[in-house]
Amino acid sequence: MKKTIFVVALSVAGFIAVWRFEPGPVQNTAAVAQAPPPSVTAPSTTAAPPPSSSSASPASPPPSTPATSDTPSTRDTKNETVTTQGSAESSRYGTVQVQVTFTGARLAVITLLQAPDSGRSLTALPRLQEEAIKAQSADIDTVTGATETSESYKTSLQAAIDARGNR
Amino acid sequence: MTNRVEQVMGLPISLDLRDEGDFAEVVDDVFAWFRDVDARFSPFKEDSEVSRYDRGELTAAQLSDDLLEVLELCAYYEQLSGGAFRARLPGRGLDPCAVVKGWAVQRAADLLKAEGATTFCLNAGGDVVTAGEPEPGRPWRVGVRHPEQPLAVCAVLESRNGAIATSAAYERGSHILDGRSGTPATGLMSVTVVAGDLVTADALATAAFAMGAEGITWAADRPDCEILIVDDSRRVHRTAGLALAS
Repeated sequence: MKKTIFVVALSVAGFIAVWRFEPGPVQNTAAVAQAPPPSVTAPSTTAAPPPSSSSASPASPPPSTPATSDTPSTRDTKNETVTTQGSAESSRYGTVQVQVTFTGARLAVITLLQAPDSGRSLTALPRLQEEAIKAQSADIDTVTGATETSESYKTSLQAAIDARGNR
Repeated sequence: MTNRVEQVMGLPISLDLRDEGDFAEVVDDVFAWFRDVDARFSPFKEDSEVSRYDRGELTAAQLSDDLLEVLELCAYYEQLSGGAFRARLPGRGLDPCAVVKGWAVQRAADLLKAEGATTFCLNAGGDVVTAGEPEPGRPWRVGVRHPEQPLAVCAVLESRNGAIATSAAYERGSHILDGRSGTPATGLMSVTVVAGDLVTADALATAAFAMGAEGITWAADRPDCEILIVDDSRRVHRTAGLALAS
């Protein structure tokens, strides 16, 4: 359990570091992702602020062992659901606070509790795949970012559009 | 109605002109202008004005007004981007291509309008200027190339009398360097900027791409433009005012 909380804390810290790059209000449920095994997750977030600066759940003791500690977990946390809130982190883009829910080692939900409200807003962050699916059926007149060389032009969408126009 | 495609300046340039009437002569002039720009401003042609200036064969006082304008634009965007956008990288020759393209295509669009054209879409290697509407009440629909799939689009934008430019790293990677480090830009897959003119759209797209992740907020904070950026994590960032087609 101690290890799980620690992983959660580090993940929150890492997530906050990532959020800091994002300037605008973001949808509430930001992502549902599979977390790598704890032994991989913990070291990979070493670039984040120290865990103590981004507190985990109130019950968690301040972590005193390194993330790669070999201390075995004495409880079966396989299907346990753990929800924890990160501290409100201020950055030059505003205040960000996230809540994460784990089911066992799987990162189930990340919820944005506070989002920056300063600066010009960017819309929520859809995934490229979702955007692309919506865009597929549209009938278009031209393409931006299409081609930069004569070779790539030959097989491009823009070439097909140009050919259509010349019929 | 005219459709013409030519390879000029190393780019496929497509003109889709919908006006009735005889525009054959002005269309010829537009493509002649692109060939002229290529001859004068290409850093890859030894006798171009850019190459001669770079070798010291021309002084600043001998430069054409056009090249001076281009160099001023380069300096402006270099300053605006904190050096991420740079026309002269250490150890390399002068290369104003990033500005020349947008500038030349916008000039061509202005020439078409001055000669009475009201309804056209001009696309130079994926940088687009639109005028009017292809059908009454319907704006031009501009697909944004999917950064990972050459024959797919990841968004469709609506445009009337505007400009759209995209800088991206497709299959072969980016040729855009971060002027601050001199190394290839990283962090973003595709940057699309919508603006009132192509000089602005093209330069901002190139500069934001060169800046990497921090280019997202940088571009979003510029007034009078809208952005659609796909980052390396495949997240799509867009400004609220972006005109997405429904």
